Amino acid sequence: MKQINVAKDFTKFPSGRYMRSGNTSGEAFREKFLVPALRSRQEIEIDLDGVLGYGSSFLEEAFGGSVRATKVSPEEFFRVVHLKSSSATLVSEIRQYVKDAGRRLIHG
Amino acid sequence: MASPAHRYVRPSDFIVAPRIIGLHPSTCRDLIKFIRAIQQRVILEGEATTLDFSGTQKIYGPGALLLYAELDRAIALSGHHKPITIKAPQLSTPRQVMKQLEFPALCGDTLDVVPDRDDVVYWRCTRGADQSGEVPGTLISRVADRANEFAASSLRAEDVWRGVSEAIINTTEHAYSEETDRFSPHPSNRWWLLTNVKDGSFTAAVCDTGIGYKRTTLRTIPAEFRALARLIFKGENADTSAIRLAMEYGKSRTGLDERGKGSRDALSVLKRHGSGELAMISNKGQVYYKLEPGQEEPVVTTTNLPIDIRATLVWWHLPLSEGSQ
Repeated sequence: MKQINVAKDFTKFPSGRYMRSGNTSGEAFREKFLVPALRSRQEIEIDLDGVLGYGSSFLEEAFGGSVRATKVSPEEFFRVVHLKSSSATLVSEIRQYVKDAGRRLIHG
Repeated sequence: MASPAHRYVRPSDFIVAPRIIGLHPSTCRDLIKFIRAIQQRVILEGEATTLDFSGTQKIYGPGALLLYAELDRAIALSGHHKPITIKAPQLSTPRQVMKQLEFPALCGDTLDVVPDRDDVVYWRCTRGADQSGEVPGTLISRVADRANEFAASSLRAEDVWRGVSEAIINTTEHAYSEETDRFSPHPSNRWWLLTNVKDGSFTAAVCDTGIGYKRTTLRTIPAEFRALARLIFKGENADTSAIRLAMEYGKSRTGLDERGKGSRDALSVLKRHGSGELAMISNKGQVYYKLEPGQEEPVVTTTNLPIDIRATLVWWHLPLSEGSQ
């Protein structure tokens, strides 16, 4: 399984929603790591520790946004993407974004 | 004949700064009038001026940040090669604060003082024009490290970052999305960030000079939610109710696309820290949240400012020595 460390492989300061507004954004992370993995169904483990913190816009655009971009179900998402974090709250929040995005795919 | 850009500034062309630089309802009128006089001279008339801070006695964070932002904007929009000169405060503390926040450097001046006071040396100010995390994140990280050197209880930088980074996103996504009907916004849609550690507390503030919550919420929040909020916040001024509307929308799960959570993230800083204060100021409205240790929800106070500050500020004040977890 491919290992991705957000702090080492992306940035220590995740911030922002869209790429047009900055290279540390959720969209940039999604396009660099999540979408390729989901499209190829190559399992990845994302280590979320070691960064300054995460805002809700970054998380929603990265994780919820990758469900919208690839149209995968939340179940399929978590078969491919494995989350590693010392914060259960953070993992739970990400799971919620993925579930919400999946629900909207179905219900419009 | 000298061109306007190189015209001599007469000694009488001074604009006198207020005694107190602050955004409290009792002090903000003087600061805003001072800022408007600068805008009139520098932006509209294209003239150079000298700002006389010699009588300034006290500088508070939110006022300092707004003044820094407006000087930055006036300099950017002026056609003059050196539109603003600063005559520094005579008193030691405000003199050191101005040097520490780099007001003289912003205006192309020097000031022969080395800040050494404990209540001054941790003031920091930075600025940016996009959502990239490096500049503001590095500042928050460093100041949080310093804060944790002093305090028995720790400041979690990730909690602060959540609020600050979302406030910056709100600025870059929304604050400059429409033309203002007054002075032009900063050419690069800029945000400004101030941090401080002082008297056992941590302060951070994010400022923009864009359109404000009232006009932003017209575009970002659905009409039916706005109509509901109008009933709930009936009697409050339009700016105050727009701030509260954004907070309520952020708290709700009715947002179809998960946006509008930035304002809620501002409040989450207090809840994650366990106590503290948050002030959201936009044009003529101010909403103040205070969370005491052990409380689940903050006490909310609204204030009508006596003058339109033509800017938006989000300000956090977190105790370090007691109340935090």
